[in-house]
Amino acid sequence: MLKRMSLQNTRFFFTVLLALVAAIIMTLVCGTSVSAAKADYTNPDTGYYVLIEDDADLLTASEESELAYKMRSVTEYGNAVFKSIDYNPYYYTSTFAHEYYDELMGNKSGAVFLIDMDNRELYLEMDGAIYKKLREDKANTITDNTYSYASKGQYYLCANTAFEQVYQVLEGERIAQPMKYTCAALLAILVAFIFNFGLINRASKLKSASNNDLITSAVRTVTLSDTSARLVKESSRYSPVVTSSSGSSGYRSSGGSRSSGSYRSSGGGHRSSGGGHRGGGGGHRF
Amino acid sequence: MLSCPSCGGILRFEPHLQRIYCDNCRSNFAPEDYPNIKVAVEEKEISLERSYDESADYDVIRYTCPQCGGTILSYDDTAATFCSYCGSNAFIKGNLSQEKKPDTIIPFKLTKEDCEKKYRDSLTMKIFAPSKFKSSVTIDRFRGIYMPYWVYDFDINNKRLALTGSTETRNGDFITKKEYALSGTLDAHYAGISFDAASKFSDNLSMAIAPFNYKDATGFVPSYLLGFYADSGDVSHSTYSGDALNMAVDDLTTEFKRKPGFLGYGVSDTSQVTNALREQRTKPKIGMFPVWFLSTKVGKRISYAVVNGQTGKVAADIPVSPFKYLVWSLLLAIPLFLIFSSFCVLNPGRVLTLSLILTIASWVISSCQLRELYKRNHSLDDRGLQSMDAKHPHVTLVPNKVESSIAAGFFIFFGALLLMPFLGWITLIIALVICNALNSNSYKIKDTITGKVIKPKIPLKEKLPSYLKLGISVAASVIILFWTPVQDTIYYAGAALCIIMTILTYIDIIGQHNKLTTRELPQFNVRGGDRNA
Ligand SMILES: [Zn+2]
Ligand SMILES: [Zn+2]
Repeated sequence: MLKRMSLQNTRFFFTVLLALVAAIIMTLVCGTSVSAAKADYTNPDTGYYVLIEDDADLLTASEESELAYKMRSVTEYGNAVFKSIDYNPYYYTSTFAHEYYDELMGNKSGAVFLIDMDNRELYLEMDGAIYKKLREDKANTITDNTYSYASKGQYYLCANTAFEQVYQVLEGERIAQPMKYTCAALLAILVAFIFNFGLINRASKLKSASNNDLITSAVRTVTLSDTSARLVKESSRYSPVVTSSSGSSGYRSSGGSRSSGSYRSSGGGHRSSGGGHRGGGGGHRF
Repeated sequence: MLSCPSCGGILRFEPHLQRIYCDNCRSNFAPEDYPNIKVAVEEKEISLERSYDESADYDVIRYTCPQCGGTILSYDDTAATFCSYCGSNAFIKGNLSQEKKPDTIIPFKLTKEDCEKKYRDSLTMKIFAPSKFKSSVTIDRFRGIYMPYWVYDFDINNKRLALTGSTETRNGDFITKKEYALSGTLDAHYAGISFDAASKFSDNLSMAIAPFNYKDATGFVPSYLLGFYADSGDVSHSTYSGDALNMAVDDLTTEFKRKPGFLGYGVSDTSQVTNALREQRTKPKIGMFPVWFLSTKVGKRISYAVVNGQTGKVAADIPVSPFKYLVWSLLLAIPLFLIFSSFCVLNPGRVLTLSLILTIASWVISSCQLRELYKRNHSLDDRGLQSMDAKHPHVTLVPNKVESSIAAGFFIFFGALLLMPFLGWITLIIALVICNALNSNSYKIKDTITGKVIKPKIPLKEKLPSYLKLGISVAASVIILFWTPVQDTIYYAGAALCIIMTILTYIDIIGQHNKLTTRELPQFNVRGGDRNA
């Protein structure tokens, strides 16, 4: 069965493989060219860089240089990028963040902090070592912790705090996420309430004996004697056996189930397609 | 009290020996050898000269509880210490009474120790039970009571049957149909289809410890009561005659077709057999069946535990201690917290949706409980009580097809919760569908006379609190989820509201559960002579 399936799908796999190879080459070429051109700082040990692209003009020149200095520490682990936009050609902030990341550095380790003024949304997109350490969970927490600065127009403070917390997590420090723990605790208590009540309800059901139990525990004798059976009538009628339905139902279900495995990152809401990076992130509106 | 002929000690029926036993000198006798009991009332010993097997009555002391009016029969003066029905400690002195002699008795097989062990075993899993229920002071009040049962017998003697049958066999493209004329003589005997005849013994408890094995039934002799108690019935024998007949009919229709003479001839018409059963309607016998009985007072209510004195089957109403429920829930919450905080991405919207789902789920539980309470309060599940009181509708409960066990529902529910990160909003819809299915009524009420289906009408006053809690949570959550405000605090406020409502609902749920597992203190009319029941 496996063999049959793979034969059927050979063409499909081949196409995907080609696309993958092409995409990898593309991203390698693009990634290197961008990074070489615009980096504000390059870490001499790791080769990772700091990049600030303030297209929406949210920061002053001095704020930019201060932020760039702050972001240097992150380059121990990956590229650190600040991006702000006035206009988002994609509908979702997460899509823009993902595409931008892809174009900029493919699947290299890094963190892009995006302020989307079009959607009024923050987004932290990551990949590589940084993604492995932070995941969607921490990205969400960081944007949760900083969105209020953006709401007040304090974009420098917002970006500054975000990169500070990224670095804190990378260094293995804890960042405050009080709401997360409070919510988890309260939900855990409620689920425990439900579960325990389920146990109680099960244990306290008084199960009635069935009619069959009642009758079998009574004393019961049924005897039949002097039986005779006489054939009165015998008739025959033509009724051809219908065979059509039995033959065709072979295996049909082998191919279908494979398509449902597409990966959907929970934080960002984008799909990582073909050659793109596999990281993810989290965001918050402001 | 019957004195030992050898030493004058106290005699009692010993379940393991199945004999009358003297603890003092260890002599023992067959119960049948002591048909005449000497009863001591008010310091005077009355010797009973009446020969037991010629009379329809026997003499015994009837104790009447001044609190509830419940009565209990015994030869033992310890009956005066407490009442098994209302739990009160005041029991007035008994009066000598002539009781209608039961036709048959199943003697106790389990001693008090056996019964207590069975009861304790059944409690081990009940970790939420108040400690009062596990204390030996409580358990010591188990009393062995012979409960009155209506025993229905059915007999078909030498019934000549003339039936038809037909079979069809396939041979290639042809079907051969054979028709037969069948005859035979049927003898069918059913003895001991039994239902409890005391209204104070709730049907849901008596059915839960049923069945009794009628093979052990023997002729009644008053000496079986030594060391035990008995109760007299008050439910009319016609109450269960229809049920008993239907049971016999259902069983016989499947049984006689399987007999060698008729097997394989495709008998379809069973009316001859069932009519033969319906024709004969004899008055049922009164049986005394052994039940270990325990009552525990819970505030102003009472909770019963019963153990089948023959088979050891236990049925107990065990309320929940709110304190234990809270402690165990908090303990369970610890691992759940670790799972939630380390494996789940909890953003504010998700937290709100989850708490809303949990609120809806608790509302479902609460409304299920309300319906159970309705059933209990209207004696819908108790044929005996229905027959006693004209107020109660005479109904049967027909289980609904959709009755999915709550436990199964919970598993689906938790499955849906796990899918939450992947499906988001769809989870809420799935949860709602499951809740709705669980919430659908688990039983239909059918009037036994008209055959009409009655809808349970729970008064709005009882339903309102739970609906209010649900309404507030749903309204707030839906507004927030559609409004999608920027501030997290609004989501958390919504979630907090849901959580508060859910906790309030759980307080209700535990209260409802404890109402379901306890009963009102009984109040029996002091009826003079309903010995004929
Ligand atoms: Zn003795
Ligand atoms: Zn009483």
